[in-house]
Amino acid sequence: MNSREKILQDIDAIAMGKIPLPVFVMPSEQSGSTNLVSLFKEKVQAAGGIAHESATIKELNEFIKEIVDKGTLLINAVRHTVHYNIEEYIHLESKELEAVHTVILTALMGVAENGALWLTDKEMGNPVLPFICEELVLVVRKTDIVSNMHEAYVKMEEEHHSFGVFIAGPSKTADIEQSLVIGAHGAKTFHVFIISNE
Amino acid sequence: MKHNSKHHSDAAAAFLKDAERAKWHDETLWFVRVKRDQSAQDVSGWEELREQASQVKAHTLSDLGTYLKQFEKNASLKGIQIHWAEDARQHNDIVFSILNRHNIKQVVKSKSMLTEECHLNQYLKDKGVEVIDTDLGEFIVQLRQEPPSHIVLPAIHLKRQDVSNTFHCALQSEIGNSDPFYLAGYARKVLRHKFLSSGAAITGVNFAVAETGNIVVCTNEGNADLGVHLNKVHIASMGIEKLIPKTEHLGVFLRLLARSATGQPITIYTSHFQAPLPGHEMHIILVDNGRTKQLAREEFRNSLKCIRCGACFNTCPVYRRSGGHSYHNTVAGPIGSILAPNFDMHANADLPFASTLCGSCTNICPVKINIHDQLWNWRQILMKERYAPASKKISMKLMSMVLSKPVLYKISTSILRSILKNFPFILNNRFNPWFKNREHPQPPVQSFREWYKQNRNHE
Repeated sequence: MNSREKILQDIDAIAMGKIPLPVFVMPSEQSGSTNLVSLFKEKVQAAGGIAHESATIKELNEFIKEIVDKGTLLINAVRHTVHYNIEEYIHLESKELEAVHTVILTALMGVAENGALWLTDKEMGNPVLPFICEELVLVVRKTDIVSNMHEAYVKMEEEHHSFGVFIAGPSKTADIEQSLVIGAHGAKTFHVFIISNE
Repeated sequence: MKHNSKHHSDAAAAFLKDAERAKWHDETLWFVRVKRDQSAQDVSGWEELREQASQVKAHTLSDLGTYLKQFEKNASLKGIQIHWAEDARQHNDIVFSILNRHNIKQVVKSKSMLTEECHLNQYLKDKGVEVIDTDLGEFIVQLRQEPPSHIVLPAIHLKRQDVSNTFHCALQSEIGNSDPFYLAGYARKVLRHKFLSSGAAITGVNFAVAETGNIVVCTNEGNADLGVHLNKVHIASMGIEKLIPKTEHLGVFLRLLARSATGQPITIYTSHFQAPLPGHEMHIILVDNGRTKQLAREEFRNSLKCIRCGACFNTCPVYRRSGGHSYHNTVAGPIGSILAPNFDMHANADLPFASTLCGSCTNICPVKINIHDQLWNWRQILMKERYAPASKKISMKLMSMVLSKPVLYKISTSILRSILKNFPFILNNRFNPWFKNREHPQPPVQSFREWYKQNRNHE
């Protein structure tokens, strides 16, 4: 008998009464998109991120231009913005992307209760990009901000990805005597552009 | 990493010798508990969430075979390779065989208590494979060659000076520089190099979704993601109890996990690994290692609901004052104390007794495990199987006798009051374990019985 059979047999041999799956009722929360955005912004900031509320594409483009002027390596995967250049890097091996400083990506949604943003490898180009950079910039539409995680999973489309992630701030650790240090292994700086009027 | 085999109370006594450090440990962990409370209060419907989570886990465990098969099918359809391991040795063999096939000599590993349980690092080291633990806390204890003392905060027992000394000795960081920002930054550079030079990534699994064959890994540092996306081989080790039925259940558990663990509304990264990229390999090892045995124990089945948040550690007055290393088990604290005897009743007989049965753990557990009931249940079993010391049995029998016979009770308490009043030194000395860190109360002038007798005619 192989391990799979042994384990399944051992489980099968246990006389357990089947416990029914509970029916889930979505908690009723107050909404109104203004509340959601301000709560979302508050959570992003509490986690050490910088939230740009009611931003426009024009403002985002200015932000991008400033970074390019600094001369550090920027990879931008947000369509219809300046310096959109992900195509140049998409064929590279992950390890070759080590030198990137700033990565700008589209997020499919934001979650107000915790300031997290959801994106998949389709938005990333290369899934290493959000984690290997020093500075991560995520762009989300105001209308794509949901209230909580339950709503997030409902909104998530059933596409087939290899990888998806909720990102809620710059990387951090408090492993040294509970002192919070921003910038553990991932991004040290985190910006969120909440785009209205699009 | 081998654990010391000291009895919990001896290990705790050693821990408490440094009273100031013990106090600091106590306060630090309590502070994490407080953050959890603040975060939980932020969520309307927190108790309903706990109940949901508890029932979903109970349901899943009651039909675990079905869900395992469903998970395997759905994961395999996407090109994920599923392996089954009955025990730690098989798990380790599987990991090595995957690495060996690719001739990989260096791997990065993100936090996985299961791989700790299987002593994977030592096994791989013996076979010539270097494993680097990339979670900063785990990295620190790995350099110090000690096990983690907490499942979420592995280095919580260490002060910054300890970390500084370790980094200086092992990594040549600046001597005496114990600034956490400097030390974390130094580790970032060292570990970034390791991420880039490794051949494979090993991760744990927080949740495995049967409906889709996806796995979810939660970190604050991004080390699981960096490891996986910088390598072509991903090995994920999971206990079979990590399954949940559907994607929608992730909403429930993810709202509970980080809040219970650290007080954050969510971890910085909640990664959903769904399928290997073209040219990549993704392996998931389903590990039993005593879990089916625990599942068969009706009184202790619920312990498998655990989502490894560590909240019970943070609230436990005994854990806070004894430290994780006193539990000589991969998972310490209250949950560890009800899991460990299942592995080895003899070696872990002391753990269910390392508790005041205050019940705070049960109260705080996000999946409503009745931890303190199970601690008590284990005590019954251990006493019956004679794994617990005979002295306890004798003293309990004596106490039972005195409490059940009114004349004996009257005599005993009267003697006790007399001693407390006239000869306190008989009790207030170092031979009496109850006198450590306690003062005995002032004896009352009268016992209740005497008072009642005297006053009842006035009713």
